[in-house]
Amino acid sequence: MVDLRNLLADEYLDKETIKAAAVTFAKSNPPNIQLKNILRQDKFNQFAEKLNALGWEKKYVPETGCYDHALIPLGLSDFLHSEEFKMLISFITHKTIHQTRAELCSFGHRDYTLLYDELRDSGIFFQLEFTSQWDQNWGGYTSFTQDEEMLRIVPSSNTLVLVDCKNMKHFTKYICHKAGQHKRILVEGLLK
Amino acid sequence: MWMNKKYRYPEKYEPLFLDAKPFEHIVLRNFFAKEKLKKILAAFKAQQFHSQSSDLFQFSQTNDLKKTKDKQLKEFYHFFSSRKFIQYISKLTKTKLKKINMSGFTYSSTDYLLPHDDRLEGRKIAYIVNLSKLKEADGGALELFEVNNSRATKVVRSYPPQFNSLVLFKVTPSSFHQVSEVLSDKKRYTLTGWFHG
Repeated sequence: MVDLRNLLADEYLDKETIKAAAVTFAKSNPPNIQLKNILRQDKFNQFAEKLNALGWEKKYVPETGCYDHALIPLGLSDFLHSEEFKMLISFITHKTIHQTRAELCSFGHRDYTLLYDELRDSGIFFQLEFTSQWDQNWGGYTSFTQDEEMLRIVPSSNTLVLVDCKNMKHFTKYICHKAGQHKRILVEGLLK
Repeated sequence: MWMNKKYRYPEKYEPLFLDAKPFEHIVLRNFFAKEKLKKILAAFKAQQFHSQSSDLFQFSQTNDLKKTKDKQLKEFYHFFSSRKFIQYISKLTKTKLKKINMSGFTYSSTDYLLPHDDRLEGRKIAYIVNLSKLKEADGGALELFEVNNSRATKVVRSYPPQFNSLVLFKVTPSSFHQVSEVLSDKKRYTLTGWFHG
């Protein structure tokens, strides 16, 4: 059991906020929403601190992508896999969510992901962003495409992004040297 | 004469091309008459370039130079697409070739091309005419991947651009290559395309 009152910012405990989010999600094309300042600041800081201390491992398959990944710390993983989190997403997206597939990723200079034939997303794609400062001229943003770009997500700290990715593929734009030592750190995955 | 005389016998270079690792390729330095290529560079710079960006790349490109109005480029295109030159490349690469296409590419700071194999209907031999010189630290190198179980694994050859070099490689399911990001203010200028079968 996870108590959302300990995790979510007060605003998101209000039913009216969630109803409004559901309307925004449904009206957007493609259906999507960015829920800013989703976590309570103290919880966000606590998670962010844990992420700094992790052992990251490089995942490099040249034709599909290059980035670091790590195990999601326990408290955060419990939240993302909780019934309460799935219920919240169901309310907003009007889709029944049975499972969460999530990966904790870190993208720095020279990292990227590519579109490829077998890449088939279906369900609700989500991102929980831990990146504090980002300039999209560095690359690193998430681009959702259907032949052409349909939606671009530029990292914004403590934001939960939900996208109905039906008929779309997505990639993370190559990060150029202008990013210096900056890293984009986020949990992303699919809710099905 | 467009070509440097020392390259007149393609059979001399055929084994080098065929035996190259990780896949058939060759870098022919000082391939063209230097002074003529300098004029091509000047004409190249005056062309109109369009910026291109996708998951796989970021660079600027001209339209197909078959339609160029520039006199110098027209002559160069005419030579490069001539039956005689296509036969020469056919011999060197031991591949039956019929026609070419050609575009100009400029890679400026932060531009790149990520790993891919180039395969598309009809493409047999890829080529790059380098019109600028970059050092290793500038980036912009052509990098070739080793392939294991039909997956690209790691870069095993890296060729920083040398002015007046012609690079040829065979397009196959394992011809994975990339152009590393340009890291300095130098520009990577190339005329690039494919010989089609």
